[in-house]
Amino acid sequence: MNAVQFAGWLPSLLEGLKITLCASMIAIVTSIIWGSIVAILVAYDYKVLTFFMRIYISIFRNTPLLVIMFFCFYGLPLVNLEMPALVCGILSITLNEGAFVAELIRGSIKNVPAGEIEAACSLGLKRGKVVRKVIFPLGFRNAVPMLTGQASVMVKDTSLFALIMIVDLNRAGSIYYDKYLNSISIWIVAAIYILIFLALTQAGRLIEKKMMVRR
Amino acid sequence: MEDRNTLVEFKDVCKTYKNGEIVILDHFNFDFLQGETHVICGRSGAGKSTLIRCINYLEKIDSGEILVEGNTVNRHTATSVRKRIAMVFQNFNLFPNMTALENVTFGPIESLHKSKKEVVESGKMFLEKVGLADRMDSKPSQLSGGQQQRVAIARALNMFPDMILFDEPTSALDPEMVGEVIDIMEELADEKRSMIVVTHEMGFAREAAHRISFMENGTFIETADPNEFFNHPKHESVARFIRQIQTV
Amino acid sequence: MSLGKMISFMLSGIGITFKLVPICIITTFCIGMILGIFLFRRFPVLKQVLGIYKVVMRGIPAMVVLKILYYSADFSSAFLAAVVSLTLYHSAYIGEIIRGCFESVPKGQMMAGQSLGLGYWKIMWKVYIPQILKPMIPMLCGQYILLVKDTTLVYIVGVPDLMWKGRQLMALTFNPITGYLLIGVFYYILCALIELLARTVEKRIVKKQATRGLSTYY
Repeated sequence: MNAVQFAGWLPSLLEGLKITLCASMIAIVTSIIWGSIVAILVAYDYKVLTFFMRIYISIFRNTPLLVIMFFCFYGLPLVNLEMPALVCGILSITLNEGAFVAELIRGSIKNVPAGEIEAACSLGLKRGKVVRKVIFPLGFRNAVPMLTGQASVMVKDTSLFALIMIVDLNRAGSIYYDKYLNSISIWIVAAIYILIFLALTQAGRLIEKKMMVRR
Repeated sequence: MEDRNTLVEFKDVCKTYKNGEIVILDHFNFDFLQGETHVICGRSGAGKSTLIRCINYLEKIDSGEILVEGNTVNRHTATSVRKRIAMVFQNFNLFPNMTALENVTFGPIESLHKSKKEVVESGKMFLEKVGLADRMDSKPSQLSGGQQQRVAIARALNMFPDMILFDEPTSALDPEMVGEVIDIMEELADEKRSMIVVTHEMGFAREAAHRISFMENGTFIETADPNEFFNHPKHESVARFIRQIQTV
Repeated sequence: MSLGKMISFMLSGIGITFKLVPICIITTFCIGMILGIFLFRRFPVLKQVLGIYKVVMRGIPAMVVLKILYYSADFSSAFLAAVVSLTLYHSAYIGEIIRGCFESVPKGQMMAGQSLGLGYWKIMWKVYIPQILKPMIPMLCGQYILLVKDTTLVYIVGVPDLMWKGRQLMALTFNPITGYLLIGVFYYILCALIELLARTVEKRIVKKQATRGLSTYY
């Protein structure tokens, strides 16, 4: 890799990094919000609602993200649902990872001691309030360590954006390779992904410390 | 005894577990009265806890009817009954993500929709009453078992309930902390609050109870005032129970 | 093109997926088991090396791992590159799962074994591994579902799997909705079967009482 080549490539690398960082951040937020909503709907414990949410979780956990993303990107425009590639990608991650997030939170809601739920009930709270004010906050806090782990998976998910015509970090690596047939660029990209992962892990630890519930 | 109004009425209530294999309540009839401290004792597994958990619909009954202040308890009235009948649990069950004061104000704000200012004021008063004025901003994990249970009592009081149910409030405590909780409960009994207390603390029953019931085979086999209950029990199994307690 | 024809065309790519998945399951399990034991034993230098390996594989997307290997190393076939990269990537996770299983065995058992005069490896083989085999299955299944889903990536280096065939077909028919739906259904069935296995084993292991749903209080 010589300096001229590298200088020529640098702008697309930075652009790709920017896209990856922004898209990851948005996807993490939307996935966690959507996953939380699904987990809350399950926690209401209404039979029909739970049934449909379970179907949603099962479908989107067991279908590859790439297939969902291609379906949205190539398929939906045919039924006049056209959207920018980036929106399409983030929507796919949200649907896919939302199912994982919902399942994580649902799991930790199951571990909220029954007594705490009974205490909330016996204060005369309405069912919805018990869910929103007690069960969900406690379940969510317990799930934080797992959610930060899942967030790093979501960052990696954005690497699939390269396949729907978005120049993200991953695609930026390929641009250089395609031009000079030198895989050094992909090594650099990989190193950047690792740095993002390490930063996210550190941030996760801080959040975990803040959110942890002692019993 | 002066005339008291009925607060909670059991009418021919049946409850079983595991499809009828275990009978908890067998055609149970009883009136719990206003302004009275009613202690329920009995052997473990007799269904004492289940009995009082039926009153605020934490447990469903199979047949019969429970009336709270004249209103049937069912899934539609559960919330309104719970607003008037507070409960103190064996394992305290404070919300671990809230401070003591937040625990005490949570119920009145979220279910009674009272103003925060008013609720915080009364909450502080009740925390003071249970001797925790200096621990208001502590999380449950920073409090001892006895302190947690006192917060739980303050939480119940701050609902300004018509009745408080105590479900073995001292059973999960270390022995040296039982006293501080019992003292507060005796104080509440003196104030003529309506209370139903499931407990093994016979000292409390002797000192503070207006009536004591002994539960066995899905019903109260004996109900009497403390003097009568401890000194002249009518049933042999009650007498045996008292002897066993006293030798321990 | 009729639906039947579409399906039969795509089925020609399933063979590769059905080869890729079992091979990777076996390789990741073997390597993961060795990794798990090493991670559990905490050999001085190896511990740091494996720690770095873990961070690297957790940090880099599977697609980037695949690309690096395929472009940097000289593989005889794209299929081999796919197997190696998926194995490298998922072994890190499998190793961590297996380490976790070893950690969950009470420490006293190692001491009990040693007091009987058994060596470390003997204890591992005779005491630890038999115990963790069953509880390990649900957790491994979770990872294998991710593995199956990651196999959709291998078409980018030219492995003619289901995704490859599907995309070829769509270039001909311009019917991405049916095409991706079919591919999605195939992967869903495969992953749902693995999930079913996990649930079945899980039910057998944990005989915990069912937690009461909120509806029982209202």
